[in-house]
Amino acid sequence: MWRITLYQMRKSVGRLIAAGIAIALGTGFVAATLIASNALTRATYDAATASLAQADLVVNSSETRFTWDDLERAAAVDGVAAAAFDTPQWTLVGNAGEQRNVPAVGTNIDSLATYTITKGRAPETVDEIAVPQATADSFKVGIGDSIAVSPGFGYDESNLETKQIVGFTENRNNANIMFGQTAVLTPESLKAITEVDEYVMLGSMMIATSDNANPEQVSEALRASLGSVSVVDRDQAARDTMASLSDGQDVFTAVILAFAGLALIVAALVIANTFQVLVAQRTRTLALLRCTGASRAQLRGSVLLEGAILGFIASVIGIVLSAGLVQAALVVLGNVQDSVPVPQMISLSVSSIVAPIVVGLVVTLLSCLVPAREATRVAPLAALRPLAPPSLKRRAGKVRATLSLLAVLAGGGMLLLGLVSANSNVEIGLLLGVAGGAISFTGLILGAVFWLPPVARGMGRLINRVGPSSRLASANALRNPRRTAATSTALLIGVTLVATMSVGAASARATMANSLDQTFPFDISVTLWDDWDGDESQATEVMWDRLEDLADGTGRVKGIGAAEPTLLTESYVGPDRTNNTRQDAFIVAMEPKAVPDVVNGANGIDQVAPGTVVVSRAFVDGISPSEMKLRDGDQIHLGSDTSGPEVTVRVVPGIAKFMLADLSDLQELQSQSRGQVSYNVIARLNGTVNAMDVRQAIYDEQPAMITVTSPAAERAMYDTVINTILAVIVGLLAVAVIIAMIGVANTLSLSVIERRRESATLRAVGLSRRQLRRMLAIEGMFIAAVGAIVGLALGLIYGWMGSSIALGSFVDPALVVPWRDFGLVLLVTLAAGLLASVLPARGAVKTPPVAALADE
Amino acid sequence: MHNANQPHLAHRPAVAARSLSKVYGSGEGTVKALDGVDVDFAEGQFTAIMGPSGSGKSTLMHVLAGLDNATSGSAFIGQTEVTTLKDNALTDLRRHRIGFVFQSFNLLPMFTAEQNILMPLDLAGQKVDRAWFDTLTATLGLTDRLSHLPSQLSGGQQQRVAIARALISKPEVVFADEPTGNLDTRSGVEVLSFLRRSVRELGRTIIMVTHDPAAASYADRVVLLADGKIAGNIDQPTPDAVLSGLDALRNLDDVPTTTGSQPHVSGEVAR
Repeated sequence: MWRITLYQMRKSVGRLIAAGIAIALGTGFVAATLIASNALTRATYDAATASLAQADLVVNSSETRFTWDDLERAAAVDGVAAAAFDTPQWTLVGNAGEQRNVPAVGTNIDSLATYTITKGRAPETVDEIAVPQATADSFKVGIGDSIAVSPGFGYDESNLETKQIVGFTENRNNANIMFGQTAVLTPESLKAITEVDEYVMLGSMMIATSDNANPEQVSEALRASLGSVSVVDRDQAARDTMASLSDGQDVFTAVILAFAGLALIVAALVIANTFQVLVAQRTRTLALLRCTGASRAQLRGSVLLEGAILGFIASVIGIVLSAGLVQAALVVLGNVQDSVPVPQMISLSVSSIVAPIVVGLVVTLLSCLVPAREATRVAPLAALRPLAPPSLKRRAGKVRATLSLLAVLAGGGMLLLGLVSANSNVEIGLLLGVAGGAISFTGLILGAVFWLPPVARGMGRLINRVGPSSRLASANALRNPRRTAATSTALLIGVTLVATMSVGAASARATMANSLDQTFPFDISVTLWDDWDGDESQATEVMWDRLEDLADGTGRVKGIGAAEPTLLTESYVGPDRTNNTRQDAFIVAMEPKAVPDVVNGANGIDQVAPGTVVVSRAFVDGISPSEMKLRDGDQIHLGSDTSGPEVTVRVVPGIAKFMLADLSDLQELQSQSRGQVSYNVIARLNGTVNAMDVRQAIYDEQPAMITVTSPAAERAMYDTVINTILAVIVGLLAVAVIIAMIGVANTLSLSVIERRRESATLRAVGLSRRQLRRMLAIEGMFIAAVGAIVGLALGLIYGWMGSSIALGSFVDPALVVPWRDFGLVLLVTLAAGLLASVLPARGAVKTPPVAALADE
Repeated sequence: MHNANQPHLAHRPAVAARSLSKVYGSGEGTVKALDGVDVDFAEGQFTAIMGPSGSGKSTLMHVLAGLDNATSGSAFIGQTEVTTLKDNALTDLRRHRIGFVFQSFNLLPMFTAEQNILMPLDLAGQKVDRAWFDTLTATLGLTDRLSHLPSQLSGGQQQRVAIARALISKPEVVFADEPTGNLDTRSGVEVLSFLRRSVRELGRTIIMVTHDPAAASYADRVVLLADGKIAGNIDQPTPDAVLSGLDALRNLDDVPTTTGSQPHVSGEVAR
């Protein structure tokens, strides 16, 4: 049988190539997904961990904040080569006359470096410093010159240290993008400069382990030495960061995983469809073999062997192609954009090679099973009769009907349940929704044989009016409803997914925007240091005046849309039932009507009044343990103890993670105990200006005693990542549609072959070549349109359901129809259907009408 | 041969061939399917083309109908030389001036009898002449069957639908290729009777290829073909006359040395 199989394969090499292309595309699709998701994950991780440099371990403090002592203790742990904070420290750099705030990092170890040295070298002694070139330029100094460095708050002549510039720096991979370009000092000198204030660190510690240290043991030792800390490796830290970004769920991984699953399903259906066509075409040869003595088992074996050979070869080709394609994409991406670090090389994991091959093989073999069984079922004698056109009356099994109905009902039920439960718990709602969507869609696909033909018939009636070619085309497309259903189904899957994504993309963007709003509630914050050393009783008033001046000045900076003086304190006490426990929280106060101008995601602004503060539902949810959770109407004290002003809490729906208070309350707190409230100007950027430039402009404009942080830059980076991922997903799904088009071309050529005589008859009774071509073109477009229109409708429903579940708890989701995307999808599928008809039509047109008269 | 060449004085020729040759293949494998055929088919007549297998009768019909191209010589439908026409002109010719009846009916399975009958008009974008449609379907006894699909019709009924389809556009000539080949005797008689009626009562011209002498006897005239040449002509044929004519051809095949004295079966054979 081996020889016969190979002989058969050689004989039908043309058709095998067509099937092989579909398999190669299918497996290539899977492989590309896996490889690209590797690269994507890498890129997102690298982006998320840029400020962690190449640290082997990351230490997070769960309760307290780190001090310089903690860092020294960590550095002393066995197996630790170096330790550094991941957050830069503010320093003042300049000369006796003028200084500028410059964030500085204290490590000269390469593996912990968040910077690259563009010129010169990193500092090696406490007397050396590397600075951003812009800083050096603004003081008109260069490498080899001296510059003065002091702590970033409270300029103090006595604390001024002079250091020699040994190099210029630039942040690596947008690390510390929130702070701006950093200066670099040795660990000792950074500590010497910034420790004066017993300043505590907000960030994490980066640890570089020594070469032969066991990370597990080092982690243990670190935990033992530092007490209540968590120690994770960098990838885990990246995952944590991404997870915290996406509101506690690892949305990114989930999206990629779900997508790989979808890719598998699409590929499987298309391969199955194609191979069924292939084997159906050979039914007669197979039965002929039966006549000459082949056993059923031999035939089945031959078909399966052929499938295995084809599946394997095509899968390998698919993987090679996709690896090349992804690599090419990486090269292009790496060259055209630098906001997201893109890996230079694809990383091929074993699973990204083995999985697609296995999938290609298994799916091809599975799809061979049914046709192989059908072929062996044919009585040997039947093989000698002319090939009967496929029966029109074949009934699909009752089992299939029952299964698909059950799946649709169960899945639909789960979707509705998900919709309902999303209001109380988004996670459960999403879980139910995704599962329900997958199950009901599987049911719909399973049952496509039952419901798609009637739908197609209805659509066929619409085009019947157009002309004889369309009438013929729709009649032809509908004469074998099962095959048309199968072809349309393959297309339907692709289009449904693309449509769901495009409906969901808008919602996903909104969701991401929500979580970004939550993480980065403002674009730029300018902190004014309270260095008033005059009359204590005037401090609040004087500083407020200065703050207003600062806000005016900031507002005039090019690129700033709005700037607002803001008071901020970082803790509250209460309510009584918690024994007046102190809670850390951002409590901000500004002119109420200005809040929407500069702060993202704040709700219930109109309820803020003297004596009343407003928090969001998300703020309350974020408080732990649960007995500390605030309730509507609670009485709390602002500030660090019960002497602070007492206010009533109002809880409103929303996502904000800060407390909104009235200006008068924070001013009162400040006058009670100076230092508890900080002075800030919160500003919003104008459209798409570069946050880094704006920050520099603010520094240039203002007196020295400010620091500027701009989450906007970081936010823009995440925005880019999210948009890229969504674009990649939609793009890859479009590949599914293209694969499905091969199915349409296959179906068309098969029916053209079957209808050779019919086409010739039509030609004999007056069908012109052009009409024949038009007929096939319309047939192709009709099959495509059925899949596309039904797919778009389904995608709209699923997309809406999905966004309702995902967003329902935040806002009333706006159910929009993305007409532009839908039109594009329809256009592309129609064009592809047209294209798919070109080759079969060429063959059909070439057949002379004589063929109709010739008896076979 | 001379009789076959003589135009029937009573009728203008509806279809004619002049030195028509058709050669398949090249080099040693050359097969001369038609070898300088000259023949006229009169308007308003029912003519049968007969001959042994491989005599070229089907090829002659295909070339005359413009379904196949000639190697040399000309074929005419009325005044139109079909052998020089391009595909679009041929399509036009087939739409308006020629009808076909096939051995295996070749109805489109997804359309009803009525839709099948109207297909040529539909393709040409022409209006239906309802009176003509009613006459045709009534004559063919299809009035009750119009909404049936081909699969719901008997072989004879299917062939009658095919005949109606061939006649719906009132063509100058209908070509029928073994129209009774796939039918039982009774249905065959039905179909042949109708073909004859459509010539006599509806004034059509029909050219039929057949190898069945009984079928040929329904024609007004039989043209005999052998080795791609016209081998004889029988007017007002009877089955016996046709049979003996064919026998004469077969003898000729058996004794190829007697070329030059080709048997001539004249139309005077008694009916």
